Amino acid sequence: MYLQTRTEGFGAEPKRRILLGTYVLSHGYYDAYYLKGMKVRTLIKRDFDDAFKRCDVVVMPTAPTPAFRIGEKLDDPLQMYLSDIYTISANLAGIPALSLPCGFSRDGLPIGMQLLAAPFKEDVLLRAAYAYEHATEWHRRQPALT
Amino acid sequence: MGYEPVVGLEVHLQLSTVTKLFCGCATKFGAPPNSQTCPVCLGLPGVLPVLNARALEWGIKLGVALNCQIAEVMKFDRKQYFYPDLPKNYQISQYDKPLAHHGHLDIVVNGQPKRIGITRVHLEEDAGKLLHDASQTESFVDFNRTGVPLLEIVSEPDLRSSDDAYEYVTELKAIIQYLDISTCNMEEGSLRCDTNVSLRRSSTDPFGSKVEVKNLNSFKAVKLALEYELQRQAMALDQGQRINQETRLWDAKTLRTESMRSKEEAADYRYFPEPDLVPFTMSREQVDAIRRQLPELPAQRAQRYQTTYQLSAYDAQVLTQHHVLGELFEDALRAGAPSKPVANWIMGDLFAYLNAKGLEPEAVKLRPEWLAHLLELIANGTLSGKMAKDVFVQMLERGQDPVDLVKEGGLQQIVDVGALEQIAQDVLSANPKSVEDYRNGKINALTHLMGQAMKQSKGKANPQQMTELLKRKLEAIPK
Repeated sequence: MYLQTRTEGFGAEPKRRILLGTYVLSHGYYDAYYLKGMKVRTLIKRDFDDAFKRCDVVVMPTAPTPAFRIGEKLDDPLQMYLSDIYTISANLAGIPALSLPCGFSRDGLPIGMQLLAAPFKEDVLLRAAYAYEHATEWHRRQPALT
Repeated sequence: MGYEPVVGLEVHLQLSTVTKLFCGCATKFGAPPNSQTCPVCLGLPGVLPVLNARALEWGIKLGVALNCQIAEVMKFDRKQYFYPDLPKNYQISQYDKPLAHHGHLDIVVNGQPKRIGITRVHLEEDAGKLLHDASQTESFVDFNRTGVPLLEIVSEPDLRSSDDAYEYVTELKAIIQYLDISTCNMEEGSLRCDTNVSLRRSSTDPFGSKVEVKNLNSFKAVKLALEYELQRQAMALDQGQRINQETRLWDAKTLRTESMRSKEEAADYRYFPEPDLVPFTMSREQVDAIRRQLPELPAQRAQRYQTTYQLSAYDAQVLTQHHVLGELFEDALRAGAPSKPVANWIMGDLFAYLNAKGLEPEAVKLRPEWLAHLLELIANGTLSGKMAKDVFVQMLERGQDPVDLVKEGGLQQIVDVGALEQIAQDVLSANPKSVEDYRNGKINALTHLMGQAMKQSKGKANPQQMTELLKRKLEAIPK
């Protein structure tokens, strides 16, 4: 039953992640992957801690590229992971982040901007985003649907 | 050939908190299947566990009672395995930072004191229960037990015999009952035992390959399984075989251990920190506050019984093994009974009754003042020792004050000397042969005459008094 329900119910990406997660936690690989990963995460968190001593909000792109076509990168999981590279920082560092529209690409695709703040500083994030929306019109524009 | 057994015990203890470890579901035993469940303990997506503060407090309480160091940072981990009784596919447990560690438990084995190291005590959630017997083709799972708080108590491999192990579990159970944190009912599975067993040629040798024996679900099983396994290993070693590191299962029906899985098949639990429960600190003040709540423990109570009531070390230990017996003892003294006879009645007649009926002391309806009344009835001559024994059993069976039992049953001892004399005279007249024998030096004949006299009095004569009377009358008959 396990085999049949999981085979049918999970797509390729969840299966990939389950296998990868299982692998890095396995006896003999834990130190090299999981423990190392945790240490890297601590370094990332410290970086943000330092940054928030000097500023209230960090601004960065939400994604490294504009949207790609549905199914375009399905057979290239590494490229897929790289699409998330800017958003997972918040998860790793344990801080709040907010994404909002900030313009369009040359091809007319919407571009997102990400704001990040120190832990529990959601109010700062929301105020900054609100101010940005008052100063710009990007959030009112819709991309052309073809 | 001689070997030294090296044994360690792992005890799983269900805490009797009202709710589960990470959700508000009830923990009552015997409820209809799956009636005490919710999205959290069923492991549905998106739920978050919240730690039961009482369970943590009780864990620390036991840690302190076992002389452990208490962790300053409390942390939980996920232990992953796939089994139908575990809906989340992982168990929330404590891996590298148990809540208590480096403690010890003092036991007495055959009069010899022994200190057994406690490696660790940690908190985790119980799994569900699989039911295989209800149908030929299907198995069922009951998630009521899923998420019930468990303490795992791991001993150092300091035990050297099945007797050591038995005393260890007994003493541990006593402490737990004094702390009032679990029912310790092995039949209902609230106290479960696993053990690690190995043999070595001498106490300076390194440890041999250890075998884990699971499923020790009664105190007797702890002893029997260890005896079996130690013998099995000794025989294998004698024949030049090697002991495989493996997990074996105790079968209480066949009284044997059977191989369950070898070292190669051992599970890799892939522990990692539980991200849904953040680590937190326990301050020294918090731990000290719990320490101050500790009640008097069995060893302390036994010491007090020796100094205050002049009981022997053995009597004091036996009386304090069960919390309720100690309470009974002290309450009976408060009701005016003298200490030594009360101790004797509890350890003699009460134990005999419990053993005969296969009962735990908790199951008996015995009021301490009844015990005091019984002793009073003996002291004032209303009951003979023999009659008191009968009344004692009646008292337990019917749950009644001995004073009432005596009144109702006409059980009073005959104290009327005239009536006793009459009985003695009748018996002597009716048994001329025995009288003759006695006078010819056959002292044994008196036993027969006594038997007749007691029979005639329907057991109500004071035997000592009757013996005196018969003797006096026999001596008084002229030669």
